[in-house]
Formats: sequence, C-alpha cells, structure tokens
Amino acid sequence: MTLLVPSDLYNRWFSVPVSTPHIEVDYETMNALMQKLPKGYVFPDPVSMVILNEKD
Amino acid sequence: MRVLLVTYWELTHMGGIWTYIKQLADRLAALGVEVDIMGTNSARNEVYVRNLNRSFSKDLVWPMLQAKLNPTDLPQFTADSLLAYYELNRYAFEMAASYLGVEHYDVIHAQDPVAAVAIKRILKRNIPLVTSYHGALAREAFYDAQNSNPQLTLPDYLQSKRGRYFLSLEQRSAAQSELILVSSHWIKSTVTELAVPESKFRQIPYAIDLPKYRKAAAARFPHRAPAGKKVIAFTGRLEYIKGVHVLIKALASLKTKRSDWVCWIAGEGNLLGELHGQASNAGIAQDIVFWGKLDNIPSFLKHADIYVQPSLQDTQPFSVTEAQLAGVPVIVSGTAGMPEMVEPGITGWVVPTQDVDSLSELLHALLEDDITRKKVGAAAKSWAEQHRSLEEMGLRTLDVYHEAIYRGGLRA
Repeated sequence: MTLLVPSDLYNRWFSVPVSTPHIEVDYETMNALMQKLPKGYVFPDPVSMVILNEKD
Repeated sequence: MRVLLVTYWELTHMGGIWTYIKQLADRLAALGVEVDIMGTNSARNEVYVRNLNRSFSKDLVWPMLQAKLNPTDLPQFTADSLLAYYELNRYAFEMAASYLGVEHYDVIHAQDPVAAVAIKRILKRNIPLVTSYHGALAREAFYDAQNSNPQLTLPDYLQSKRGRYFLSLEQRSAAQSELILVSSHWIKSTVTELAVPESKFRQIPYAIDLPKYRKAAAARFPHRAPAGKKVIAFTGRLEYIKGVHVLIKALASLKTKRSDWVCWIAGEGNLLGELHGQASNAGIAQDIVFWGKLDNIPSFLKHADIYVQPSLQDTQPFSVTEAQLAGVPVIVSGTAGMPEMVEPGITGWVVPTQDVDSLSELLHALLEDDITRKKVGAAAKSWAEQHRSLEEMGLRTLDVYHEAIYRGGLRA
C-alpha cells in the first residue's frame, strides 16, 4: 500500500520521512487518518502552545 | 438516538465514574438509545470502543508524534515533561478517536474535559457535545502535586503553568459544550468560576441501580469482624486525594482511647504500600485489614458499623451512597461535594477536612452510642433510596441530550 496523502500534508503532521528506517509507518492507518481528521487539524494544539510558551 | 459516552481516561479504573458510565449506558439502552462507550486501555496502550470490540493502538502514531514534537524543534513543548506527556497522549487519543469514528452520533457525552477538548478538535460537523464534570481537573492535579510537595498551596498551583494548563482544558471544554452535567453544587461552583454561564448547567445526582444493589447485598461476605469489635469501613481507590492517610492518623489516636474496633479498607491503588507502612509505624497494623479490590461492596458493607469518607476532594462519591444504602452511618470530609450528601446528625456527619482530632473524637463518640448510629444509618438509607434512583437519572440525562440537540441545531 502506498501513502495516498499529499506529502506536504503528511509533513505538516510528522517530521519523520516515511522511509526513516527506525520508524515504521502504517500506511493504512495514515491514509485513514488523513481522510477522517478535519482539514484544519494541527498539532501541537495552538491553544495549549500559548500556555506552554508562557513563563512559569 | 445514537450516543457516544467517551472518556480520555482508563475506562475501567475510574472507580465510581466507571460505575456511572456503565449504569448510564445500561439505562439509556433500556430507553431505546444506542450507546457506545469509548475510553483508554493503558495496559495495551490503546483507545477502544468497549461494546463494539474495536480498538486503535496508540503505538501506530506515538513514534511519529514524539519525533515531530522533539526538544530540539519545540523546546517549549517539552520543557515540562508532565505537560508534554499529557499533550502527546491527547493527540494520540484524538487520532485514535477519529480513526474509530465519531461522526455518526447524535450526541457525544464526554466524561471529562480532556475528552471534550479532544473530540471538538476532531469533529468535522457540529455534533452536540454534553460534558460531565465528575471532578475538578486542575484541583485534582494540585493534590497530586501536593503529595510530593506538602508546602504547595492551591492558589500558587493554579497560577503556575501546570495549573493554568489544566484550568484551560476545563474552560475550553465548558465553552465548547452545549450543556454541562454536574452531580453537586460544589462542582458546579468550581466550573462557574471559569466564567461559564449558569444556563449551561444541569444538575443530576449520581444514582445507583437499587435492585442490583439489593441483590448484591443479599450475597454472603465470607468474613466476620473479630468478636467484640465494631467495623469502621472505607471503600475506594487508595490514592492521596482519598485521604486514607488521614483516617489512619485518626485511628492511631483512637487506639489510645479504645480497642473495640477494627478498620476494613476495600480498594487498591498506588498508596497501598505507603498506607501499610503508616499503619505499622503507628502501631495499628493489626487493627486494619486491607482487603484489596472486592467485587461485592454491598455485601462487604453489611458488616460495617461506621463508614468514613476522608477525601481531600470528592464530588459525590458512590462509596458514600453505597454505605448509606447499606444503612451504615457515614462520616464525610467537610469539603467539595461531600457535605451535600448528608444532613449533619440526621443522615450522617461532616468533619473538617484533614482534621485528625475531630475525626478521632467523633469515631470515639459513635462507637459508644449504638442507638444514634443505628438511627442515623436508617435515616440515611431511607434518604438514599428516595434520592438516588437510576430510572430518574436515565430519564433526566436523556432530556439533557434532547436539549443539547435542540441547542446544537439552533447554533448551527
């Protein structure tokens, strides 16, 4: 199975190239997630990042 | 109607909350609602839909999440390892929930703020969200932190980055929910402090399946208290927030006055070893029995003479209601939602939180007074039978779902 998603969308989510040897990418899962998650879905969560960027 | 009951947390290790979810699901099913239950199974590192036997292993996305959210590229993200862990887990939960499917429900009923925020982030359409606040997340995180840092105060914690992080999850989930379900005035007041409008709240107390309870109570508990000893009981998770260490301190003081009692503790948790050690150091190891996790609490409670709920914070513990239904007089801490569960001197007693001397003195007085114990226990039983009906809880919760659908429609 090949990764159906556009590479820029994948790269926005994951910094790991699909060919990285020590990380196995499950293509079926990735394809399903790309279809099921909303288009605007991002992580890290921007709202949480506002707090994580603040000083303690 | 199709409803998803969903929690971010471990489904079956939630103590009373799991009882709530299970009973609600059964009751709703009896009313013709299709109910699915989603939660986490930590042992298998997966999110699953319990009744459909479908699961998603977080391992499928975890290595990639970790690689993306690394300390070199995002030092702010990983600066606090606890918060980074929470966030990573939430993203894995979001992907799992999305993979398992959340778009086909009429209502989603989140059982905690983390699940509510996660679900809202992955929905493609406007499905009405109802969120139950079973506890106060930021305050519970404070008590966890206080366990290792006794000098820490609640106001200081809530102003810290961690406190602000947990409060923001509570605030976001309240803002994004059509309606908020609470069981007590106290939990409602903690959420209204987050500037949530009063009109969003619906208060429905936790109920118990009374026929099932009575059937369980009819079974025989295979142990008896030693002759001449009365049983002081506690049931629940052995965690710092449950305050069992306070009870043991009070028992150590009680032991200096009398020995006609034994304490039975049913439950398991990460403090078991510590509590054993505390009892040994106080010289009362022989007076306390740690039963571990018991399958039949109603049957166990038949042997109790006094029940103590020494929690530092608790919204509306099932264990107190179960003790009341057993006709056992209860003593609860005077904090959070617990004082709402008893009418002092009539259906139970309230002692100031973590006040070892008051608890010890009250236990001493009650062990002395069989008539009062029995009178208060009987009154509590009658009250609980009248006010904790599962039928009513199911019907009222269904009304809340209908209202949430109506409100969701208006908003759309």
